[in-house]
Amino acid sequence: MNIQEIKLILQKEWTVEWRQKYALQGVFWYSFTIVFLCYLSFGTLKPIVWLSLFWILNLFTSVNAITKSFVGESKSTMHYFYTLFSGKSVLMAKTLYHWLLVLFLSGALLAFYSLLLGFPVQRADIFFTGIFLGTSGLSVALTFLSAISHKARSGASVMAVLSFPVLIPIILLSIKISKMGMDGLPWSTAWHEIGQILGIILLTGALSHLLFPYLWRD
Amino acid sequence: MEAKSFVQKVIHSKGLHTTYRWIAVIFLVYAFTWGMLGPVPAKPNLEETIRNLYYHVPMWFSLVLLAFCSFLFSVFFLLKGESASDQLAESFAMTSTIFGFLGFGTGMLWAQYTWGHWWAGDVKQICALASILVYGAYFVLRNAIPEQQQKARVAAVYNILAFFSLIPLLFIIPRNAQFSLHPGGQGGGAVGNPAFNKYDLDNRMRLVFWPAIIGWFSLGLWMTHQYFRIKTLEIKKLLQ
Repeated sequence: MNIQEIKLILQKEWTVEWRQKYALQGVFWYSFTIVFLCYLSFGTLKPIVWLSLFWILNLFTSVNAITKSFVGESKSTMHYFYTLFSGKSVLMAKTLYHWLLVLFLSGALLAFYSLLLGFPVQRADIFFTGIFLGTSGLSVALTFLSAISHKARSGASVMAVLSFPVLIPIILLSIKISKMGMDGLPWSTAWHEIGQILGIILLTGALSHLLFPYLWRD
Repeated sequence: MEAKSFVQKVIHSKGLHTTYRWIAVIFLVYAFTWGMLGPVPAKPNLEETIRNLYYHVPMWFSLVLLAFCSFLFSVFFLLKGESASDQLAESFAMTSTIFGFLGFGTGMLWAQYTWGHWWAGDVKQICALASILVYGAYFVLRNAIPEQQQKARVAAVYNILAFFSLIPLLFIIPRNAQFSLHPGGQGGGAVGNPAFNKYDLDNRMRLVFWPAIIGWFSLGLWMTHQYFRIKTLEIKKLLQ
């Protein structure tokens, strides 16, 4: 793994993303449409339902956006990458890129969601910490799961089956943290959960770093 | 002749197989009979259903131990690349999942008699269901890849991830929950280990409880070995 390689892969991801804008646009419109649909069908929401619904939408948007990270690559692109880069830099670059992408997307989702359905949050700092940590956890775990389901060659359905159960701890903890922000509790109550979710993210990151070389070798 | 690898030694060790089979038979016969006949403390609400402790809790112990074995053989596979260790990992995952369903079934039966619902929405039920989903996904993944070598490697990678996601689901989240209907979960903050608390482990029950765990785990090993042999025959048939 080296910085130069990571930079190159990030550059490639970005260039390809801008060249074929449909993927990014697709995810954007997808999230706008489901938020609009929720607004039409729910009207107003109780705060707890508001929060859970937001996390479900966020989960689906993230899965949609990250699935293509590896599943979208053709076999020959991966072979070409194999001759150029080390596996660890590819994973690192993909994770970084999708981390930024998903943070941006969930920010956009939250903005549109609160425009239509309100923003019943009392302490924004803890709330946003919860969103940030949860989304980071999702991106780390989902990038690796996308690499696994890339090998299965049956695309998005396997990805969904693999990812949802593995993501449950991350989702549960981040709902807990952002609920504390919503209820206006002090920071001292949230440290415990923040520590746990950081632990899970680090564990997932370390595992994917260790295991990716085995997936990479074809 | 080449020296036998660790995995080959485990598979072909006659002594090992005979030992756990006898242990399973003796300990389970003892746990079935003395579990039904032996004395138990009279607890309100639980009454005689407390004997389910000899079935429900050993299932979860066996699940964790078998999942750990499955994890170990997946690691062996990634290190050495022997297809036998992948088949062993799959067999262990299969028995582990079966024990998960059994633990779930016995737990729901118990919940119906003591809490009044099959599904009480308890945090441990939720996490247990999630961990069964994780292993279900493992088998979906295996079936999604047609090529043997590739399947073995990808499945091993996912299995390691699955074992590590079992740890927060079974050991961390349930213990941090504010409330749980399971023992040790009342009174704000479900602390402590549910299986080793003062509430149930009366000394008389311990005499059945531990042998039951050993017996069920040995039965799990036996089932794993049978499943492994079926798998090996299937592959042999494919290659013919």
